[in-house]
Amino acid sequence: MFASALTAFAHPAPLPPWAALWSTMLPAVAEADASKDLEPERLAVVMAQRGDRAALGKLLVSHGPALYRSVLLPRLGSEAAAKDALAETYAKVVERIGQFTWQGVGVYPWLRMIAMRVALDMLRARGRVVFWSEDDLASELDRAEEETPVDARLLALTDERAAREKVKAALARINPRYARAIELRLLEEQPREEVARLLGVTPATFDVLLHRALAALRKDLGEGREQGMPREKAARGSP
Amino acid sequence: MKGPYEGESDELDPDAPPTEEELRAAEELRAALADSTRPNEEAALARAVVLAHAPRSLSPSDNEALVARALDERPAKVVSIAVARTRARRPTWAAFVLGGGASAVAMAAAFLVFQTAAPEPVAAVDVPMHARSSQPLFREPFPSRGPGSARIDRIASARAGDLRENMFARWQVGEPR
Repeated sequence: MFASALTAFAHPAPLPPWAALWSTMLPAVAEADASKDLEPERLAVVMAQRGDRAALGKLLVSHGPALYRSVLLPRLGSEAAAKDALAETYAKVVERIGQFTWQGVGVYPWLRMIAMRVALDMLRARGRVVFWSEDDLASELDRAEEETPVDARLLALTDERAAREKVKAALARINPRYARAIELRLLEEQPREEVARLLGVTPATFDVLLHRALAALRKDLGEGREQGMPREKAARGSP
Repeated sequence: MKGPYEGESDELDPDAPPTEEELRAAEELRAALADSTRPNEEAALARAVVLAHAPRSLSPSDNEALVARALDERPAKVVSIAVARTRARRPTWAAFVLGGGASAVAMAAAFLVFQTAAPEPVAAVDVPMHARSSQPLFREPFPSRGPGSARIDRIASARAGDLRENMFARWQVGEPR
C-alpha cells in the first residue's frame, strides 16, 4: 500500500483542465491574500497624489517590471519598443496620478490599462503585421474596461498565460510541420542542426522550412487582420 | 494525416523543392535571426513570437533609469545667467578715461563706480548635461519603417544644445544673445 502511494506520489495522474488551471492560479491567489495588505501601496498612492515624487517613483519601480514583461513585451514583440512604451506609460502616470481612484486592488490594474493604451497607439503607428495586431489589443482593452480589476500578480500571470495561448493558437492554424519547426527552433531554442536532424532534413533545407513556416504564420496573421477582427474571433466566425 | 489546422487547401507541400527566391529568403532569414540589426520582417515576427511565448524581464537598472527619467530627476538646468549679468555690468575703461581728470574726487567717484559694478560672485551652480535617452524628445509613437532623418535631426539638435551649454558652463560665460 505504501509502495502504491509512493508510486502515485512520484507519478501523479494528470490533472483535469480545471484543476490544472486552478493549481497555476493558487500560488498567486495565496500570495495575494497573504501578502499584502495593500495598505502601504494605498498610502504611497495618497502621497504620490499629493506630489511626493519619491512615493510615485517607488510605485513605478515596483510595478514597472510586470508591465514590461506581461503587458508590453508580448504585445509589442520587441524589447526596444517595449522599453519605449514603458517610458511613455511612466510619463502618462506621472501626469495622471491625480486622476487615479483607489478601488481596493492596488494601482496595477490602472497602470496596466495605461500601458495597454500606449501599446495600442504604438501598434497603430507601426502599420505592419506583427504577432499581436492592434485589433487583438483593442478588443483586450474593451474587455479589461468591463472586467472587475483583480490583484496585480494574478493579472500578470493571466496576461502571460494569454500570450502563450495566443502563440499556441497561431501555431495550430498553420501546417503542423511548420508549427513544429517554429516550436523546436524558436520556442525551445534548439540548435539549427539538431532541429534539422529531428525533422529529417539537412540544415539548409531546414532554413527553407523555417522561412516557409514564418511566411505561413505571417499570412495567417495578416488574413486575420484584414478581416478587421482578432484572429481567434475570425477563425471562429464571431461577429 | 492532415491536422485540424486551417488553410490546407491552398498551401504547398512544406518539403517541396525550394525556388531560388525561397533559398535567398531563407538565407536572409537565417542571417537576420543571427543579427538583430538586420531588417527582416520574418525575423521580427520570429522574435515577437518568442517574446510572447517567453517574455524576458526588465533589468532593475533599466527600470530605475526609466522611472528617474519620467520623474525628471535631472537637476534643473542652470545656465550662467548671473555671469552674463555680471559681464554686462563691468565698467568700461573708456568711460573711466573720459572722466580722466586727475582730481581725487573724480578718482574717488570712479573708484566707487568701479566697486559697485565689480563682478558679483557666481551664485548659480553650473551642472553639466549628462548623456541620456532621447525618448523625452518624442511624445508621439515613432514608426519603425520609413525615413528617420527628422528624428535624427531632433536628437542631433538637442545634443548640440547640451554640448553648447556645457561649454558655456565650463567657460563661465552666459548664453550668446
